[in-house]
Amino acid sequence: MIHIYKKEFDLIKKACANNREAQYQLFIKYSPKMLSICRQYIKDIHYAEEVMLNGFLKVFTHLKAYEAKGSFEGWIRRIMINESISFLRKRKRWVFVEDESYFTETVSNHYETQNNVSELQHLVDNLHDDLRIVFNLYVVEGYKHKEIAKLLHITESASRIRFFRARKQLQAQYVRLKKLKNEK
Amino acid sequence: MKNKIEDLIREDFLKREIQPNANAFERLSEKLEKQAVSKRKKWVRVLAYAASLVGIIFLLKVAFKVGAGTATDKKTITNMQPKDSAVAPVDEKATVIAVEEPQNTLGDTVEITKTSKVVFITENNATNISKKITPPIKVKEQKAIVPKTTTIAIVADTFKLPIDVTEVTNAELDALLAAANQTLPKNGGDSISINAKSMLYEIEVEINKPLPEKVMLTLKTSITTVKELVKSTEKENN
Repeated sequence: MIHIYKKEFDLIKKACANNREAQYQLFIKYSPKMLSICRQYIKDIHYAEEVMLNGFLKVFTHLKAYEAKGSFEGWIRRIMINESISFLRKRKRWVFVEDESYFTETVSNHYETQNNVSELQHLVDNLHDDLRIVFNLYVVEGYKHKEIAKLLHITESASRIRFFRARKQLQAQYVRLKKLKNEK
Repeated sequence: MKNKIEDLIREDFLKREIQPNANAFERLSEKLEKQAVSKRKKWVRVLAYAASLVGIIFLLKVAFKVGAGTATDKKTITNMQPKDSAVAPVDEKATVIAVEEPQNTLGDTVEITKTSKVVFITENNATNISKKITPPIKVKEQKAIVPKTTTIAIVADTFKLPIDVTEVTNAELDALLAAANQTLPKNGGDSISINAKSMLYEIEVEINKPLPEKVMLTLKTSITTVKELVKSTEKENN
């Protein structure tokens, strides 16, 4: 166990000194999990991957700021979440037309069937961005409403309301899905 | 039911791993390279800005030095008295002794009364041009650095003395001031009136003028002279 941590610490040190090989090793180790996190927040996998790369860019450029007090994975995870949220915030300002059929086809064919992205992910994807962020932060990451409110610059009660709405919508969708399965 | 769906989602998301594209690290590597280059460029830009700022400050300093005269040419004009007796009584014959007081600051006001003396002090020795000033005037006490040429020009202009402003040494200046001092009593002593107020005012204005204003003034005067010349030539032609 200590050996594993020591190895990772050495990798981090080397990556900090801009060693590409060490950076590659860290990327290989953490990128699948990090892409999954980004995908929780961002419906489109291509955007999610882009956000993940930007997150890793930040990780490698600010590696000196990592104090090795908490786990390295936790530190990267936080960066990825922040990056995803800021991406969604920026995207709110964009005005563009999405060809839904293109995304559903390409995404499902290219990635999601291969990687077994579950039906549950699709249920969460159907939520509005604001609701999805709060739901993920509360349920998956285990943040408290106070922390969510601070992170998203909203009030604590707003965070609670968003979470309850998300939960309600998910329950309704889940029931519908079950019914459809039973009918089949 | 409430917690069931949440637990399902949590478990599913925490276990899940999605493999990124095969060329993902290459893209990341490119981004890292680009960032390193832009960081270097940023530093170069910052250094260039700093250097140009220093250069501008240096040039401004040089320009203002040229505008204000050189340090070796400076003369001090003082019309001050000790702070305690700043206001001299009008009826009494009070003589203001000019003393360079380093503790005096700009902005202090001294009242120059009928019997006050205006004293010009040069670097080597003090030469007095004392005159009764008819109206009591208030001037701002200030220790000012005036170019030698300005002082000489004022004195020469007042006493109508021929002087070559460009090449004047301290000795010549002293001699000039002494000559001016001698001419005063000859021309009627106390009855001669020098317009000290206007003299002081002119000096003050000269001192307080910033360099750009001085440049603008010179330009204006030169333009007016050119205009006058043109007008006169036109008249002559007509």
